[in-house]
Amino acid sequence: MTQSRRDMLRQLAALAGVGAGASLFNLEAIGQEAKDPRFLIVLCASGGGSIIDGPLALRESESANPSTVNCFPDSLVTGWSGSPFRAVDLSSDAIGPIPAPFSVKPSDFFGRRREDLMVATLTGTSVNHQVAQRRSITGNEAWRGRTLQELVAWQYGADAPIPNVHLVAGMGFNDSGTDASVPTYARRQIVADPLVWPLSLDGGRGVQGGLSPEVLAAVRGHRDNQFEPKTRFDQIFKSSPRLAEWKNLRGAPQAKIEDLDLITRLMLAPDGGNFPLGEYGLGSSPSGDAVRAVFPDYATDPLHAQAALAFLLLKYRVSVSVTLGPNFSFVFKEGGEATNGLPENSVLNPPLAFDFSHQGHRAGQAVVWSRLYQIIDGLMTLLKAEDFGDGTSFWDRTMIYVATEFGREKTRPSGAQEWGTGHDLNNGVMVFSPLVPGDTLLGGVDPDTGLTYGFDPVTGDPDPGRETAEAEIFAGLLGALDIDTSGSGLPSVPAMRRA
Amino acid sequence: MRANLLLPSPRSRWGLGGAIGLSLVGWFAATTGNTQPTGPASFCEVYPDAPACASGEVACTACHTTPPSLNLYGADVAAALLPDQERPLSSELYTAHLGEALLAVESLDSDEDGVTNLDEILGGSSPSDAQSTPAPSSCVDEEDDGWSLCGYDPQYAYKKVMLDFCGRSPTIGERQAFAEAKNPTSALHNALDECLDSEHWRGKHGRVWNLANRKIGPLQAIKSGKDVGPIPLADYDDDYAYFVWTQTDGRDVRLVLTGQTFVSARVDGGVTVYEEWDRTPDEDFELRGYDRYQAVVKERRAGMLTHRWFLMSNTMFTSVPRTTAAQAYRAYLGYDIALLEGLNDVPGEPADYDSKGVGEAACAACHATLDPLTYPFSRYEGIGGGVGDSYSYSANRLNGFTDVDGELVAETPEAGVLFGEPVEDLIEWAAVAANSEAFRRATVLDYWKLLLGEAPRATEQAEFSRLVRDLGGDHGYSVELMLHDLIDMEAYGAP
Amino acid sequence: MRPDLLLRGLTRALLTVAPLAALVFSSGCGGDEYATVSAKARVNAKSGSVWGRDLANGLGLQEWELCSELGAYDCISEAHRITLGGVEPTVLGIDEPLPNASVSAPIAVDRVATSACGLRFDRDKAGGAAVIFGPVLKKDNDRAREDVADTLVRRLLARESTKAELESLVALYDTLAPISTDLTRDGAVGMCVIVATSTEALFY
Repeated sequence: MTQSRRDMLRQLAALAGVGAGASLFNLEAIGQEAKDPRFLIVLCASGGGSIIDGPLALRESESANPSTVNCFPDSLVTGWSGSPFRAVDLSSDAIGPIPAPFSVKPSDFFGRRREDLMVATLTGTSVNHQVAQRRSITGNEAWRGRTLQELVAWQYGADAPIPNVHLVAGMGFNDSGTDASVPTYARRQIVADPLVWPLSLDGGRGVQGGLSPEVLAAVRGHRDNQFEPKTRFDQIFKSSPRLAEWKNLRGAPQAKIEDLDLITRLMLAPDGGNFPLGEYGLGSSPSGDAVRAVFPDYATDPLHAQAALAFLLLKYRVSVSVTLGPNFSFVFKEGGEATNGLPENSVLNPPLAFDFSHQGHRAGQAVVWSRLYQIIDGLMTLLKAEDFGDGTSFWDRTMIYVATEFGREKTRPSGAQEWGTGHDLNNGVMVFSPLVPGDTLLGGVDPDTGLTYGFDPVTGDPDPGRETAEAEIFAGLLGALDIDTSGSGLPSVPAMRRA
Repeated sequence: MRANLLLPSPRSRWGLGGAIGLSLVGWFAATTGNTQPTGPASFCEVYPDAPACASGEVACTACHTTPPSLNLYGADVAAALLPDQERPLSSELYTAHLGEALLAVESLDSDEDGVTNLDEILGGSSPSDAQSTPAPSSCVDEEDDGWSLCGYDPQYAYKKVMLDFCGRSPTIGERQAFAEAKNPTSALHNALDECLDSEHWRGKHGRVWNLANRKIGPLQAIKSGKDVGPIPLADYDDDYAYFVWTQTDGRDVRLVLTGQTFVSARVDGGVTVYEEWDRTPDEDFELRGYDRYQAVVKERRAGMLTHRWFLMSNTMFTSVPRTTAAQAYRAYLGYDIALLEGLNDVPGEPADYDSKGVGEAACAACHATLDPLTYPFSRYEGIGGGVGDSYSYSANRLNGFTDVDGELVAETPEAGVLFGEPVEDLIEWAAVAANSEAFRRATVLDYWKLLLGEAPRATEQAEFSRLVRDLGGDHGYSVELMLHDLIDMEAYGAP
Repeated sequence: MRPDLLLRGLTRALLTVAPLAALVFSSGCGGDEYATVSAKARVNAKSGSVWGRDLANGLGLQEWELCSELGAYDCISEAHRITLGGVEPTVLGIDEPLPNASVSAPIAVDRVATSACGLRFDRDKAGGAAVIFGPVLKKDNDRAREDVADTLVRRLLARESTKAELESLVALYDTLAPISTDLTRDGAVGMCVIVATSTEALFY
């Protein structure tokens, strides 16, 4: 349902002091912001990605409890002088109980990308997947239940046809916010299949025996303005919010989508094979070759398809916020030679993604993190190469926030190299962006326990006596994205913003 | 025990809302006892005759958008509630003075629609929504257009029944025949009877089947049986078939928790046929193999709660399977503990038998309810970790977890507590659950939301409450009889 | 007021006083007394499969032949499944229809209707017993257009048409005349798309 300016301002007045974000209600300001956007990519580390199995990995030699804390043989841990980050290159012949050999080398990735990486430690508040996922994007309802994605879409997406797109569904990371004052255009749009979805972005092209664009436009207009108002059904239910929403979508939002030729621009499949585009008067995206080169498994790996489309959505200014990530489905790459069990590196996503750690913590974490690093790497490559139009790149104004619901238990059976872990509130998050301090760790890790500790939100100095709250991470991310949070009551976390 | 009849709303501990929300937070932080909000009941103590109070409590959305955020009316109430008192208010102050605040804003018109808050409350409309005003005292439907807008419209209801249950609109011929029927009510119920047998309603992947999606949580990647996934662990088709069977043909819907047989679904000539079966684990193993057999012996079965998929996907490798119990509580009783619903602390709990640290104050707020709720589930094996066969019942199951969870875990009792009532085991848990008002309410709410597209409105609470009551009374726990009653209601049949 | 209508009104008023408690939560009965709009203003959206079934039944087609993208992906059950209100719980984790309409849903609906109406027209033209468009294929004049419009309303909305509706549908031809290269087809298919994608066809 559209919301009038009067209604928005009325709610603002009625809820004064509860959190306005003055410029979010200033239509002129929003128009200006749309011309100088920031882009948010929320990459979901679904199932509970442990930060100490990623860039905060511990060496056995550092810990007073090397055999019972989750730490790694020193020989496996790569570090860089002056950098707080590590990487663990790991191989094994199984992923927990799955006879699937794997070999991952995140040191390559971190070696190249750590300059744009900030890790901030935090302690969450829920061990329930759905609830904790939601809290990772709302700061635990820190600002009237608004999500990060909605806020970015609200401030920067007024001109974008579909500002807030979710390429993965069914998780708390995809939740809608609960603040009715968030405008409709900023709310999430779910895209179920990145390959086929672009076909829903034009009413006539590619339809066999369809109508010409001019005729279709005339038909639509006649329906909306002549026929429908004369039906008794439409008259009787004219106050229905659902009908109002539908009619609104048929207007400006539809026009924006079709005018941009998104059926072509977002078509990441090439012409041929399962997608005989040319036979239907359609074509592949002009950027198709570039994204397919970076994400070659787009046809078989759902996350590659999501990432490819995510880039196109940003490049063509369709969206300013895109959410993607693995769900809990098992993703397996066919082909390859199997010597013992499945072929090496054929398991792309174990069942339950990071939550497979219940069965096989070390391997599950390694495999899924590796997959996410590959996605981040590819997106950064594409965004850095894409000119925003003012001499800067898209990357210069983008943030990849690796959201996860919680960490994992820090201890292991004595000397175990593989074991199962439950959920643990104590963790940290990765943020890749030139908008945050690079090669920087906010907070720290106690090597004797594996627990992370917090930081001073202003100076960024580590503070072992402190734990960072979800709301602080939420506020810090918004600050780095230059979202107007005035009047929100959110904490100030300038440490998360690059000077 | 407080029930939220509308969609569960997140209750945040980061209270940035008005006084009501802040007091909620303050109250939560101040006590590790019962953490239920008292506002809904307090409202109905002041306005017992309000239509929205038909069930004894008003929905949270009377004052909130999503707690703690306030709507227009709630903001006025918050401003009138002890304005000179520092925030957050204690639970005691809030509860003691909320009534005064409600009375103080009665004469206001919070949504500026020309109707005072009091008139809206008593008239059944929303004092925070300018689009909502009480109906005038008389209604005349003058237009001779085939629509009856002043109340129940049988033609309108007939079309809805066809679409909802048969999955298609009536043809013009069918509509004309209905219009000419001597007894429209009888014709309507005949149509419903016919449509309740349609594939659209009861078939595989039909409406009732899909109602179980959130309860079962299927994942094709680990499915066994037909359409097998790459790592077959269990077959959720058994769960779906059983669920649909319990909801159809006049069966006692309580069987969804208490039944001790299984059901298969096969499609024969385009028609899904549900067949009840009862095999021992050994017999089922012989017939269907390791990947699919149901491993719980008959006397230990409790409907959906002991189906293999449920145990596999929820219990997995956990000694004290809190996720399993929470999912049962959520799916079949309508309480989501993660959203602080259905909390009913048990003194002395949580005992933290598996040493997970749930006794900390912040954790105990929920775990004082969740842990004793869970104990009866702890004898049912998940994928592994215990002592018995996967997915079976093992009285000594927890002995298998002492290495991982400590010696104390073996002392976890099988007896637990549900709704404040001690239960000896899961069979008793299921019986208490199935005979509870919460179960009836959750069952009716499932169908209400499916057919009406939303939770009951304030003015529909009375009809909804009657359905909940009658499901266990006149309807004899038959979903189909309940549906026959539902389609006769104004909520369903008035345009 | 005509006496018979007055009597009818009074009778209805007496009969409807009792259940009035349910008629709240909206702008009431369109004013002080006379009911012209729904008090509840609540509609359900037909799922894609249900709307498709109605479309197929109305057009005399099979559901599977209504529309397929690139000749390979059924529009309703595959390509636009979620967009059109379907679910996919086992792989995508979409357990329930999306609570709000997707931004591309109206576009997808137009695609399906255009394909299906076009197929019906082409089949009627190809020979055999025409189901809907026979009159305009025989002789494309106002009378034939009105016949087709009436058939479309009766078949797709399962009710009698009104004069105003027929007039508005036939008026489409005037709008299309300057821009169409095949007015007979465009007008006929256009009327079909209009009815098939009207709010009455999509909601209930």
